[in-house]
Amino acid sequence: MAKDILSVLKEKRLYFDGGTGTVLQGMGLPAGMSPELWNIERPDLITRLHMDYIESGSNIIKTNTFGINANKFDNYEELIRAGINCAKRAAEDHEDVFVAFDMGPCGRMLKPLGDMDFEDAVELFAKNVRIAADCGVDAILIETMNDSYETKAAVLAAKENSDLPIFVTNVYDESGKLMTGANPLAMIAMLEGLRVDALGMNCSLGPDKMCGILEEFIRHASVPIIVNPNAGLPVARDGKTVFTTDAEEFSGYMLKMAKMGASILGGCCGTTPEYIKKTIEKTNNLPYSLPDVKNETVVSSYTHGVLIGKKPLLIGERINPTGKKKFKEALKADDINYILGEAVRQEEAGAHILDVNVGLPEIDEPSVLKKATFEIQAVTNLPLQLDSADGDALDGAMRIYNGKPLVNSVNGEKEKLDRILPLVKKYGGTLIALTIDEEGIPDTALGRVAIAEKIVAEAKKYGISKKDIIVDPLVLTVSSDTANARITLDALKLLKERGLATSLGVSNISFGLPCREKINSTFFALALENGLDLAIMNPFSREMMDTYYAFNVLNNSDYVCGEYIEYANGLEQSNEAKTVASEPSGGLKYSVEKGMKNSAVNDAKELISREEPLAIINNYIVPALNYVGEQFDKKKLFLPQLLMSAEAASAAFEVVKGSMPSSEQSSGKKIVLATVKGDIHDIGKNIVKVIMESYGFTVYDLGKDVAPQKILECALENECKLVGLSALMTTTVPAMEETIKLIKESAPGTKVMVGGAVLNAEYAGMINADFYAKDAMEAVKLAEAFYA
Amino acid sequence: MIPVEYGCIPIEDISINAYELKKRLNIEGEADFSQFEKIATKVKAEVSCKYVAVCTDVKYGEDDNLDIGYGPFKSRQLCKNLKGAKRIIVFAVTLGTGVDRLLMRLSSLSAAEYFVADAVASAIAEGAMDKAEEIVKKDMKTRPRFSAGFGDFYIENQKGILKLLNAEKLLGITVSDSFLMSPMKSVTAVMGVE
Repeated sequence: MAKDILSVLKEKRLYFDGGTGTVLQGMGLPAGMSPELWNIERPDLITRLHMDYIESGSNIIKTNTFGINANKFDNYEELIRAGINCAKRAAEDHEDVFVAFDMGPCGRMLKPLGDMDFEDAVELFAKNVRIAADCGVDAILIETMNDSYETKAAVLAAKENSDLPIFVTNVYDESGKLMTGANPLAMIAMLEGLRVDALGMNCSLGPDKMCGILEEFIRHASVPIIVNPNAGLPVARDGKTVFTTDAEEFSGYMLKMAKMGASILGGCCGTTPEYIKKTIEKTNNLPYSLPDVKNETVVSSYTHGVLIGKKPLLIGERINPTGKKKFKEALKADDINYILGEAVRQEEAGAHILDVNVGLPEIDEPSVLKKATFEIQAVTNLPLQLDSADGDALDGAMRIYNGKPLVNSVNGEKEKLDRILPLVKKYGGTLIALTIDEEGIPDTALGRVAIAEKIVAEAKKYGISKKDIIVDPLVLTVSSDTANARITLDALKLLKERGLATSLGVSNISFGLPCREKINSTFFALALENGLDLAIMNPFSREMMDTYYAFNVLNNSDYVCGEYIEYANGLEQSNEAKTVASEPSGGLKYSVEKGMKNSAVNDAKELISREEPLAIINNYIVPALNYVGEQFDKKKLFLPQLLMSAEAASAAFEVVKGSMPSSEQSSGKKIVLATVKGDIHDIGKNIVKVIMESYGFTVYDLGKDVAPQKILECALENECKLVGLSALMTTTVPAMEETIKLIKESAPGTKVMVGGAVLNAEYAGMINADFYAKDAMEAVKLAEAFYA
Repeated sequence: MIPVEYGCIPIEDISINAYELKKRLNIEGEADFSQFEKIATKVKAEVSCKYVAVCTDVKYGEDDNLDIGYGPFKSRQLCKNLKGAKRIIVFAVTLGTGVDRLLMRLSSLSAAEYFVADAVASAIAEGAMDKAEEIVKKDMKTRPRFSAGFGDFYIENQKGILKLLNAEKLLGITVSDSFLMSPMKSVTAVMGVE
């Protein structure tokens, strides 16, 4: 019978090998040379390295393939096959030794922090996995991952291209987080959701520093835990690099971690066969058991996990077009910044999770939900609830989500269950289960509970446990039947008695009634008392937030009333701010000149009642901007002040625009703005955008790293005759030139203005730009002249 | 063997480089920085500063060619800067991805805050380089530090420098096809040892 690493792991503690680079340098590997090249050049030495570790007692050896991928080596396949051969040759006479195919980071940061697409990263790892699966290995080890998102890409590649067991170790620093911010709970939630077989930590720290991180793993992980530390930190001593922890001290800490509950032990940088040998000597006879399966309901973002069921939590409902005219317009216009602003403001208002719903009949929901998810997760730390009735939309968004999402929703209908449950099995997630099925919504609490139980049973068939299901017993408005509230409240109680977590869209209760907040907040309090864990609600509602914080105090869920006091203090401060803002200011012109955004909005609102909109723009906003522009030109004011004034002007402009007939709202002046392909510096472009908008331009902002074709399409689609391009680096100016060439060929008559640190008028002329602007004010003047 | 050292620099040990801040804010003459204090506090809260350094031999070839450990390249200005130094310290610092995230968040909320925060972060990165320089040179006498991207010490050298430093593994710094580093507020430099 073929050996099976997972069966063996159930019975006994396993031991990885240790460092590779350290040992190979000792064997003569020149500094700066990639160790993987020796798979072909010196296979004898690579095999010797593995054998040394096997002789020291390691029973999982890592192939010498850490840094290999198609982007780094043209002959990646040959190197991988040679590396696996070396490991298999070393292990061939050892029944109890397993070969783990080693995959390290791909060497590029994924978007949005870097420039690599998520799917490109998945494919890059997939190429490696397919070769490893073909060669035949016992497991895949994804290791030394600094980034949760890249980790997910590698795990998906492993799952989609092999049936091999998947082990994952990440690099935690002294703050106990990955470089890109994830804490252990976030990684455990995401990786267990993705169904990896073992997880843990490696590299970066010595074993002493890993004990604290291991504690978190022991507390939350349900699968075996791997610990592969460095031999302390490298330091330069007498012209040589040495590590601070010797084998004796190292193995002492490993003994401690084995006792704490680590299932697989090994080493990373600086460790040698001696370190592994001593570790095995000290730990081999210790009692062994796998971690307990934890009954925790968790969702996660790229930074942290949120435990559901400990105390009630709030899901911000504002990212949803239903009943929101401005939101609908933003969605149709692809105005992602509006949505991002809603996300950040809800986080600041106290939401713990954000609902993301972009369902509108006239938009392509799968593509928009995916884009919104990608963009929102870049600006908020909160976990997201991906909310759609469209299975394809959920599929795309769950795939690119950086963490373990809440998935809204499944219900008791067979078609829904068959579509959504496989997605949760594949990508991980916690499900919202609605108590409705083909027969409709039961009108008794017990009827709703029965549907919940049916969903739980069905999910179990996919290996989705009860802890990953949150039941929404549904709220029907009391305006149609006053018994509705009681049915929902009773259902909440019954569900809690059966050990299920609960969720509700609270404000549905008052639909069709006046003064809805009064009904909503009272129902909210009752629902909390009956066991509501997650409330989908508006975090900007004062009444609802009052109820939430007060309930937690009265329910003994707010230790020493800390959160309540902080909330109350925030209310007092905002009242004071309102008092200050309502005091007479120096007028709209003054507010814009001084860059006082809130005052400018209040002044504009006040003026609207007595002056014509166009008069406000021409007599207050434009003169203020002109004055600020002049001061900027004379170097009496600087860019930060100019920007603050522009933002104040834009905010006032929005107020004034709202009271203009729609035919007059557009000035007709428009511009497409983009930072060119390959360049991710968007500060300059953003400055131009803000100032253009303050002068009444309609700006189509395509963002950064934008392909030439996309810029052309935007100009054609919006019949925009002026395009502004930005580039900061000499290496990206060719992309600018290429964009200009495409625009000239395909949209004759469209003019291109360029700017950026590396450009000057002469250079701009060489790449055939029509205008060069040295700064944002000049860009506005050129654009104004173009449209004059 | 190339001696390597790396570690963290606490934010309290980093001074904001005033010259860099003024340059980034496009401010000339006297300036009152107190108005930016609130944003600076936000940026500082996100900084997780790490550095790595190696000290290696310099090999000089003909026509301003040289090799500092990752293969030969030509740079007249770097040769001039090094003045024939036989050893060189190569080092990098990064402020981490938290700063990048903050900047992304601000970019969707306020261009003014984004602009100021970016300038402050750049000035902190320069301050961190000042501190890292102090740590790694110890009592060695060195030439002024010099970074890839200046003059004919082309930005393309960034890949070799980061590989030499093992900066991807130790600091999490990666470099794109257009030689941009991620995290964005990362800086590399070299200093000849006299």
